[in-house]
Amino acid sequence: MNRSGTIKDLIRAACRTGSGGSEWTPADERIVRDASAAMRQTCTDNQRVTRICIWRKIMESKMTRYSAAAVVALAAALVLTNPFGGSRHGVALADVQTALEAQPTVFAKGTRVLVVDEMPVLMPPGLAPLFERPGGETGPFVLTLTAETYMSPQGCATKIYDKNGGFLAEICVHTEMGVATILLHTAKAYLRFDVPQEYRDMMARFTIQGFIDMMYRSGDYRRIEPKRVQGIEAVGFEVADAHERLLAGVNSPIVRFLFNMQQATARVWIDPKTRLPVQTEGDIEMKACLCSFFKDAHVEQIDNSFEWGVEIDEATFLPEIPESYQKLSPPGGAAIGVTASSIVLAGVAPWCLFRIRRSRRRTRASRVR
Amino acid sequence: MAKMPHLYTQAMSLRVSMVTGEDAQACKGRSSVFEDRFLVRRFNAGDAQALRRIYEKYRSDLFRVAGALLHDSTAVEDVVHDVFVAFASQAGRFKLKGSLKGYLAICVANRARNVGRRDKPIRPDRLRAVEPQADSSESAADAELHEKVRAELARLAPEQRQTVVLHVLGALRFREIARQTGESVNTVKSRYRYGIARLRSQLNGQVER
Repeated sequence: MNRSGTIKDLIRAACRTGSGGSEWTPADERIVRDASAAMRQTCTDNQRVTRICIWRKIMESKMTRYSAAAVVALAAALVLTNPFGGSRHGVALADVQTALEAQPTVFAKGTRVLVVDEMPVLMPPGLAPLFERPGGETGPFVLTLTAETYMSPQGCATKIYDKNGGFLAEICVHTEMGVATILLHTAKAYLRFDVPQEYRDMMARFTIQGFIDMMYRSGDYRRIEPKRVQGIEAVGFEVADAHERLLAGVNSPIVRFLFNMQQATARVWIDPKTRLPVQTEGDIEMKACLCSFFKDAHVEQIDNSFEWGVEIDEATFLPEIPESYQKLSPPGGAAIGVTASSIVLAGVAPWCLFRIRRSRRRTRASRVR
Repeated sequence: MAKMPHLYTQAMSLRVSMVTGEDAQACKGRSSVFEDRFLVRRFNAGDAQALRRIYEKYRSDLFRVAGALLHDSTAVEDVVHDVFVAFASQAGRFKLKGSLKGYLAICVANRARNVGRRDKPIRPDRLRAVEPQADSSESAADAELHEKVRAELARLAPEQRQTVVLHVLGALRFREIARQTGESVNTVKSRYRYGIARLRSQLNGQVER
């Protein structure tokens, strides 16, 4: 009988157990250890969840939504007006590309200047008298030509004249049919051959549209200071490593034999109002090759007259061959030399550089896939 | 065993007593609340030492509650273990409402009740499985009385037994029990009153009022 205690004390006394005493037991250690492990796991999970929750909280906030909308609108405005670093004219290649898409055809006119230190020996007939020495007896030899280029989705054709208007050559490529035609009017000879499909696809992009598209997509270009071109404060874009693109992209001895580029720079000047090119320029340094008539040469190409959206007869890309013209048989050395020289002097080469580079990138990408 | 420094608790106790002039007991209770809040904050921050301190602080009460509601020591340890692991799993998002001790004690009681439902009904003879703490001064008569008390406690209705255990062994106020269980205070008081009355009647006047 316990008369001294109350019922509470009796219950407390009756329910005293060994577990949970003042002494620390292995069971306590196990409980704390497991609880700590559970807490660590929970904290790790909480960190992941917290990040998500914070983002949800942010996006649930009305203020945040408005802020995000403002930021997106601002960013869109920046991108649309000047995505590539800013220009007081606000011209972007994307704008140019858009403007060009509305102009599938173009007629361009310009000059091609070949400068060599020594008079070439191996060259097509009729070209030797066209070389000049504006610097006197010790100056370089300069060949100045005029080129008219027609471009459309169907093909590309370049007509080459001397500075007096004499019709020298004609290089035409019908990309849909895959036929290339070279007419050498001074030699009264021609060359016509089928273009392999792989080159046909590449040549189908030999247009000013494709050129701008390549620059825009590659993003590998430089803005240059605005310049007054044909009375217009034009915005310029430049690609200064065309030679590397060519040499790196085409690793063929034959191509090097034809186009031995050491340095190539291409520029395009854009009218800020129309977003269309007003002038294209190409500076090419060549080592001795067929295109330079086996002399170290410097080629300057300028197209400064553009007519957009002109109607181009399909026959321009597949011209009729006069009956009196002699057929050259590829791959004869003379034919190749003439063909290569004609292509370079026609101004196709600078644009080819970019297209070849782009083609190389696509090939690499397809290999990666 | 590493223990957390109690500088915070001591500082809070001293501050409260200086400001309010409360007596030592009230000051101790107030400081315990402050310490709980401090520990919970640290616990939510992932401080393992805070968790350990919480366990050290309330393990005795929790074991007593579980021991009074269950029939074997293994189950008691399992219940306390599960409750603390579940409590630790709330790190970072645990919100203290009321007292921490009350929360943990109710958790233990609920889990013990679930275990009791799952297992066979508690029989008075199996209460021996929960070893009484060795007490050399305890006489044979006292031991017999204690065993009878545990037996009668086991015969109480579950709600009455839980209320009596939480109030007497868990040292929880009726208001705290009501808050944690979601019952009204009067209901809790009634359960306690009926439970104590039943125990007293079963013990047949062996204890003084």
